[in-house]
Amino acid sequence: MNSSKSILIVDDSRLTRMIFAKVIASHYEGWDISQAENGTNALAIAAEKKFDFISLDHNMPDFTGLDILPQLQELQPNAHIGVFTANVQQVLTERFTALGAQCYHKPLNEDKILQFIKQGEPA
Amino acid sequence: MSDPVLSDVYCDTMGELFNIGMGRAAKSLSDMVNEEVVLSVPNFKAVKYDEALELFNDITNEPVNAVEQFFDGQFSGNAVLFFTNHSSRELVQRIIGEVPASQDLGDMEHEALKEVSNIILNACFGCIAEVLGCELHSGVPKIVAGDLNKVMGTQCVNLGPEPLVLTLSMTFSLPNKSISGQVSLLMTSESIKKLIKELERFSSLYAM
Amino acid sequence: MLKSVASLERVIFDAASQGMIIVDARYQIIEVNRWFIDSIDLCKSEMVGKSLFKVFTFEREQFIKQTINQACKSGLSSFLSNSLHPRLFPLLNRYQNCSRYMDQSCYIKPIRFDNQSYCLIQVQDVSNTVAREKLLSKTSSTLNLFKTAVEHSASSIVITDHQGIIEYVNPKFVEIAGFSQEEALGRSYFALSSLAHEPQFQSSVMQTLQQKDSWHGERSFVTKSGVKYWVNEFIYQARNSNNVPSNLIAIQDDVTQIRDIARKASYQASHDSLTGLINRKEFDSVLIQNIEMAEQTPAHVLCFLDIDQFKVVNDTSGHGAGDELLRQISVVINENYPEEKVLARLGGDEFAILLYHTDLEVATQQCEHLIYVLHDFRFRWEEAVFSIGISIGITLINEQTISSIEAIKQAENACDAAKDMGRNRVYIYQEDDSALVQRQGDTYWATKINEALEDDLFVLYAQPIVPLQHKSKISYEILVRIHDGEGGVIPPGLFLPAAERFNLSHRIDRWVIDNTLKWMMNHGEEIDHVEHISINLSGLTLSNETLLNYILELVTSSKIAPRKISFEITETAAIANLVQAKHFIDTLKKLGCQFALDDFGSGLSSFAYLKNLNVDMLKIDGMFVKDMIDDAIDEAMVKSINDVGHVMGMETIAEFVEDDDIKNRLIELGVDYGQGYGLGKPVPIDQIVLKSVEIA
Repeated sequence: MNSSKSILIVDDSRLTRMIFAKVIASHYEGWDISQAENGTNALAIAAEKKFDFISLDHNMPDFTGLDILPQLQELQPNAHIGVFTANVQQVLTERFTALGAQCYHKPLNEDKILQFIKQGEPA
Repeated sequence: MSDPVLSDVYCDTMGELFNIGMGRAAKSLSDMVNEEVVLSVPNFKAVKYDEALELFNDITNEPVNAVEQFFDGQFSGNAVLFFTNHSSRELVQRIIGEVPASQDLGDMEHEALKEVSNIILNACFGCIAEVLGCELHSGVPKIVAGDLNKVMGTQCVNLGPEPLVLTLSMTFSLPNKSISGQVSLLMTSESIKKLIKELERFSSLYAM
Repeated sequence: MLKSVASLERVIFDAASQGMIIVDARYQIIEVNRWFIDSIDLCKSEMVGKSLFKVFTFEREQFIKQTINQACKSGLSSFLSNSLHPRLFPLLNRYQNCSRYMDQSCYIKPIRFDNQSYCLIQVQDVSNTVAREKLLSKTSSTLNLFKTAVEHSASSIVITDHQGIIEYVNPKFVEIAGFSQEEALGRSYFALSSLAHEPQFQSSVMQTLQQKDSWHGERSFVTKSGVKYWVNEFIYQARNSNNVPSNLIAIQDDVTQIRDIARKASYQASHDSLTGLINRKEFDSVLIQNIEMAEQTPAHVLCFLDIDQFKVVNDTSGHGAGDELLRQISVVINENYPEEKVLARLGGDEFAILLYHTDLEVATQQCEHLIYVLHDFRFRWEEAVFSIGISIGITLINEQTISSIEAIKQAENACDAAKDMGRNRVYIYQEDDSALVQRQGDTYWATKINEALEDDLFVLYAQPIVPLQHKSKISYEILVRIHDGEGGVIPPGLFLPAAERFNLSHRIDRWVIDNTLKWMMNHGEEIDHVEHISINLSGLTLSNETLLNYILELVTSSKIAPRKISFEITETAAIANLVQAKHFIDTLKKLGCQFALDDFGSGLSSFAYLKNLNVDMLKIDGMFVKDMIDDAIDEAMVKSINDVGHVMGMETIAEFVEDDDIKNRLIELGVDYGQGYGLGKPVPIDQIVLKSVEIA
């Protein structure tokens, strides 16, 4: 089992946060799980703590994921960031990959979440 | 509002499911028009029928163009997606590429609207069915145009004394055009109970 | 899946009037119905059992696959519109024009059979709908085109129902008529216009429209605010598809402005712009009309009026003053006569009046009244004040009047006679009037003068001016005559008035000057005994700058001593051309010539003018001289003119010295020179070189 890591789950949907948290908790014991339901809170939390993983939603009430991604990257240079979005259009996916973030299409499932974690682990 | 139709948690879930469904619909649409479709955050509400009418009348009192699809499976009801006349014209113009000749939409324009609405509704149903893990089929789409109250009224005919409405407002934008529509699922209280059962079942998988 | 033998389901499947294809989850074509097969260029065996996407190519293949998936896997029904998937399958309508595949719309429905999921594709021919839509669209844009044309038309357009109730008005109509759309709609079109004629107008229009589908006319229309305007109007009757009259279309063009312009032009063509009176042309036609009708009506009187001293005002104070004088005078004239008249300005300072239904006696009284009124009339311009007189000639217009030309000539001649007699009076035209006969002879003389100028028929005579007080040299006045071709001569009294009237006097003057100076040059030594030779200059010459320069040149270039040349101008001519006279006199005096003022005392001016004119000699009007023995007043006149002249440094010459008595009296009075039949008759100029001039 890995050493304890921390993850920030950013999504306005409670369901998504619940699912994500549930999957992490059941596969990675002892990991620190933080949640933010909008961009503002996400940035506030990211300013305080160090995270190893950040899952980011795109469509949020105050800022989009694309809006806050650069700032998050700045605040958390060592975090592995993955975008989980319902917006599955090519154009958006390209924008995120250009910024260096991996894009995953909703609906979430266990496989996608685990793939995300594995991608973030050092080889 | 007396007792809420749906609890906060389930509203959140339904909203997210519609969100994902809309995301897929947006992809199909963007493939069709070769432009990016930008979606707003959908606003999901579960209300009694009268309240729903009030909400809709706040949005518009112009005549609307509506597409309805009957759905059935683990729970059933009528799905209605309506656009204001203005939004319909904008959408049709973008899809077909020609400005509608007259104030009212012609037959061919109605057909185009029907297809687009069908894509959106099917995406939503598909997502709900997929994620909740229940069966849901839809009937063929039909188009109804006219006064909003009448349109909604005809949908409720076979839904018993006090139908309930799950309604989602969404706005999507094509370049230079802002199009807003309302997706509503009209269900009997019976049906809502069944839906709630499904939601419970689904939640239990992720109960913390 | 369906039994191939005839079963009810098969029958129904193949009887359907739309296409049906059944496809499985792997896109295999399971069944195809009759309608579909009949409409396609493939036979059943080419389709059933094959992959849908191998048999057909679709533009949005991925999308169609997704749709079929949704049906088979999730049970979701779909719709494919013709707009987004034009002519999905290559189907042809056998009963119609087969050049294009039919426009189609498809429903995709999930089917569950034998525990398997399939998908039913229903194809409908929507070509008619598409065609109709296209036509509608085209009609709509054509309609919009015409609508735009009507909305922007510069003509007012109104559309009513078949009874004239307004259904539409275009913006131009709103603008001109003043009724808004809301105000006009629902009202009767015919009632909106000139209210007085409304019922007749409507029925007359409707009557016309019964026979043919359009009505045209020019009529007046009243705006909402009551302003009247004129329109050139077309009303068309439109028929519906059953050829029944359904609407009226009224198109109006505002012609008010054009009518206004036409009216103004007509007014300007017949009126004098300065005074507002009618002009010569218009007066002519009025006169002609009245002469034609003269037999049926009582007589009229035609008056011809000429403003005295108009030229003086013009020359002294400028054209602005002249114009203002005409304006003021025309008002005075107009008010002086009764309403029943036509007053016209013929041009210059000439006016004409046609007084209706009156006689010469009444007309004369009215004219004399005008003269009386003008007696007190003073024209003021800047610092100058002028008194104005008027000369009037009148003639009767009755059934005996020959023509308008004759009538005007009579009146004009009468006016000329009035002028000759001293102006500021009325003269009535009479048949066989000798004075007028003579007037009428003027044109004869004009011709004669021109002839004489061209054929060199003029001849110079000279009359001696004899010194009375001292024994000094004699001077001569040059007089001109015309050879009459029969050895005799025509005296100037006969032709000079005509020369003045026809503006020929300056040409005679020029001839005289030319020939006199030529004669003087040729007889230079032979006229040593002559003091100076006097040449008469007319008023016309005085105002001729060219002639002045000519004279200057001539005198300078001739070898004659300028002081031997003297010029005579009449007092009246000088006054009438005061500025020019002064200029003339000053210029030639500078050269050394002498100047005499002729006929002094007979004009209306005062001695004040005299001070301004730098003349050397004063010729006392013969009128005073010839009766001075018998008439004390005349003698007094002679004496006073002589005295004043002397005081002013001038020499005096008495004209008309007919006998010794007069001569002696003149000597007693101190008059310097005398001229007349009593002292010497005029002789041909050659004769003056002879020392033997008959001196009485």
